[in-house]
Amino acid sequence: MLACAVENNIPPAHAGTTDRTGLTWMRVHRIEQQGNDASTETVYLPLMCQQCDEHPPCESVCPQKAVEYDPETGIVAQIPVRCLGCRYCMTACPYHARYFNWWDPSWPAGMEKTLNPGVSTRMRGVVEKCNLCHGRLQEAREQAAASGTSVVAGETFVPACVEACPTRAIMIGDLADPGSEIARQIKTPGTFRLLEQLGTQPKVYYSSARQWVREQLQRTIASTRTEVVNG
Amino acid sequence: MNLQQYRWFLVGIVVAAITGWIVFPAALYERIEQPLQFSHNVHIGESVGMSCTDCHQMNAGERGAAIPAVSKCAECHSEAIGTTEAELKLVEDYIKTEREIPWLVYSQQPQNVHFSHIAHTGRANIRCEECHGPHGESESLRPFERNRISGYSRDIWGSSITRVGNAPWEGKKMDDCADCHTKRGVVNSCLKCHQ
Amino acid sequence: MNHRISRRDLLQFAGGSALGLLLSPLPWKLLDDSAIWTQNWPWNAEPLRGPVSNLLTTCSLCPSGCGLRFRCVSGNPISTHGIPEHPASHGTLCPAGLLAHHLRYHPQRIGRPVRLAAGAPFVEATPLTTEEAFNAIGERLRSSKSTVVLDARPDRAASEVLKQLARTLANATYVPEHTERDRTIRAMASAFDQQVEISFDLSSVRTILSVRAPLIDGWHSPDRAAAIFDRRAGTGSPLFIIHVDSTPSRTAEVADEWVKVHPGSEMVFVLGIIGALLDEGLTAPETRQRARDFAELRSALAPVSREWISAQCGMTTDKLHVIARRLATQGPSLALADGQPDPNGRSSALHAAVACLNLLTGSYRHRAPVRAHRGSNTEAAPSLDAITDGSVDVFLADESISGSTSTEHLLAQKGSRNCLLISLSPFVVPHAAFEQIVLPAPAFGEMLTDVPGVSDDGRETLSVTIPAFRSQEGTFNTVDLCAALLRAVAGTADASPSTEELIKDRIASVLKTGKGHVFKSSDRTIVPIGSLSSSEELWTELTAGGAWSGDQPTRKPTGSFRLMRIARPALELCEQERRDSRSRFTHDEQSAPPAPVRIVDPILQGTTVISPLISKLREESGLRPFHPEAFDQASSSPVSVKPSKA
Repeated sequence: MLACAVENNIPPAHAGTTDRTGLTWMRVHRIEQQGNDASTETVYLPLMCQQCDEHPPCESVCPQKAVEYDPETGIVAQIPVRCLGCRYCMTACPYHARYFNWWDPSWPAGMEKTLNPGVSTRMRGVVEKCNLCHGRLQEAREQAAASGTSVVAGETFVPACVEACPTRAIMIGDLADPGSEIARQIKTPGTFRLLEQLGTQPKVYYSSARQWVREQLQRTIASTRTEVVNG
Repeated sequence: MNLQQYRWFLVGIVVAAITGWIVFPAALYERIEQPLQFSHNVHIGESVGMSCTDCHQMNAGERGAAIPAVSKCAECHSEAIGTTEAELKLVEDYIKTEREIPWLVYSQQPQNVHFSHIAHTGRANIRCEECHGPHGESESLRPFERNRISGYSRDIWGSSITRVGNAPWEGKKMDDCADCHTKRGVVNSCLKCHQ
Repeated sequence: MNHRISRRDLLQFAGGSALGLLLSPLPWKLLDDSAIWTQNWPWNAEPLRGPVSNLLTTCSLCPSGCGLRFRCVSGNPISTHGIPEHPASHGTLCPAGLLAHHLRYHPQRIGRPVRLAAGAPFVEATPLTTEEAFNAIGERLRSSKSTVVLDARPDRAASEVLKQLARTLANATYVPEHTERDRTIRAMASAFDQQVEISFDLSSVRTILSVRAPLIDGWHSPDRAAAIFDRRAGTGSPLFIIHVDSTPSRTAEVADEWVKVHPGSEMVFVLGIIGALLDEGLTAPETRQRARDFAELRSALAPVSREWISAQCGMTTDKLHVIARRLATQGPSLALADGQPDPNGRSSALHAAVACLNLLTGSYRHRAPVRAHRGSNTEAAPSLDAITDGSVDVFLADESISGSTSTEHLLAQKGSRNCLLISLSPFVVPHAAFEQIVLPAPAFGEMLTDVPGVSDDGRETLSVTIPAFRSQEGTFNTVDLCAALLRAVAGTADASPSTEELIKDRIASVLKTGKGHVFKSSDRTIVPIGSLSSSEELWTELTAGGAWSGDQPTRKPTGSFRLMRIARPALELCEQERRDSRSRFTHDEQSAPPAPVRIVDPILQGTTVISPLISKLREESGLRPFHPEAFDQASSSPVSVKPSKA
């Protein structure tokens, strides 16, 4: 979470910020096993923009065309300067992965010199979200260009969260390349995506060896609805 | 129709035309001299023989302007070589005190734009003059014409207020970049240039 | 022509102007420019522009010494990254390290000395000139009957200067602060009849009994926490963690077994385990031979009723026996403790009990996790615990590297009524009990220091932190401070070597030993120290994100030891509690005050004030501490400095 904030110029909190009004492009949730056993397990779930495929829900609702799906990289782009802050996209996102700038960014004196020039700063009134460290991808592309090729070597593009995780729980890769490590990883049993039944086709996959984790994260309310319908 | 009857109407048009076409473009920009005068011509000329990339280094990870740091000037000018006033000022005020020269960058883009020199000079093999004009051969640095409202240089819009009759290297608005991209068949997606 | 201008004329004029303007570029250009203007409000900060460079160095915020790379724009660090394959960190950084570049601009940073009045933490800080500060300090030092020079980061090259200062000043003692990891080790070492140095080797341990030790969230660099995590998941040698804590900390969640004890009863719990070991005769045979007072320990513990112990802890005696059995049979086993924060002063007793337990489980067997070798330290420096309560007139705390001290409650205990605390720190961190004068130190990123440490398998390590900036005018590092203090007290000061010279001397002596290996960050290789030709070369490597690690300590015979030397304080405290008829735990668990919970991320032993961004993210996510009323240094700034700092 911190590495993401440093990379993306997230400012320290305005007074009165809560977990609903803050900016956490990457947000780690704590999932506890349901049950009253004394030894309930806990896992941590990192949640960020799931980079939905082809027709992300947030893209079609934006009146400003500030959201664009890039077919070349598969990244859903959020351009803050175009955003007018209607927050329709926040409503549309089923993963609650979009955040709104309720206040102008404010930094302790001098700390603005630590801002990352590779990521734009946002003013109040715009929505922002994870863009898969696109600034780092652009730098990786430049490095490739500097060495005369147009192909970005996999190791040169490492998003901040992947770099920071000490247990290497997060992995990045080219889904379109069938020979890549990640393409192999997503086929292993125990790998799933969140809210797949919505048809968003997210590009973020989660993998867990534990049954209860898979069940809990893939729960739907369909069964409840059936019960209601049946009276 | 009696022109006399509508003379005030015509006066209005004339006044507005003068304001809009002559007064406004002149008043919109304030001219600020560069902190230091510099002659590109001297440096690329016969006696010195430098090329653009000797000073303007474009490295991966650096956005936009490839204006060299004062340490680059200090490589040759740690002591004054010539006798011009500008050089003396450079040595005394900037090199000896290790201060960066606060250049006003003509092509300065907003913070949300990601411009990569390498992609253009390296991969697309565009020559410097194609986007920057004869700047590399200039005798002196022209004043920075700052748009009083937006804060950016006149070079971004172009010297002509209607954008008609601009030289091919003038104009660095988003549409100018997008036009060239379209002409060359480069895919235009938002994140290609924005960050 | 009519000279009067009528309304119609004006209207005509207006209409004409409107048409004329619309046909001119004015409104259209204005629209475009205004839109740009609205996107560039001057009060919103923008990043710097300029060339990008990298600066390799070592993080010194805690003794782990992780490799750190500053990514800089126009010379200003904008982010920090790890150095891959660095032996201490393997490319990882903890939250404090990730935001280390913020510390220079922290809102609690001071540029000139300030004075804080004694009393509640919310006080006004009065700025002083350097002259005023040193005059006041000089006066107090001259009249002090007992001065303690507290080194919050001991074993540095500059620590020698502090030791020298303590020798020069009248009635002064040098006291090093130790990490929680070190305190148990030192307690164990003190049991031996001869001088020994003990190190832990976590990599060969099979069972860990962690008494509130945050194994995966702050005990070590995140790399080592990840290694523990991996072993729990099945990679590497097997490891079973029993975590003892009154609240569900992150380590409790990850541990194989979380033993919930009543808050504050941890020391009694450890005594209970010791008792169970003695009762079942599961102590190591070697211990029974080598411990000269084994029988004495047995008889000292015999009258303590096992039922009373289990009631205090909130569990059955069976449970204690199960754990004891596991420690004895599923070895090699190790007990670790974290005594902080402990307002009741039980922390040293806890460490004593844990040390005793470690000795009893017999960690001296061949291939044991705790190795002892002949020590090289001739002076045994006193610990803060050993100082008489209420006796210290002046504390001089060098918190320049760590930013703050971790022994606040101990300071409160040991200080006299009018005690003055002089802190050398980049930040204002109020220690509520005393009058304080804070002298500004360089912040992280502005200081030069060496980072000595000990790796997981007992090797000595050394790396160097170099500054990314020049330090500000008016700040003092350790060496400057000692010189200034001597001048203030005695009028003159002998010239002492600079920090750089001291570190270079240390590096030269390391090179002379010819032992160990050096990690070179330039090509990420590890070479034997013999391949470096000069100490300049070693200096170059160590100041560019490199690290030296010594040979593994060889096992040497340790001789005999006395268990009661260390167990006595624990037993006395236990006895006190038994005699105190007001049992704290007979009433409802709900009404028992919860043990103060530390900030779990980041928690590095005695570390610095953290960037406000860290506390912000903690508040905004679900990862808050379990007791929100826990003291949070960074998100509430309890001190206002007026006028604003220079």
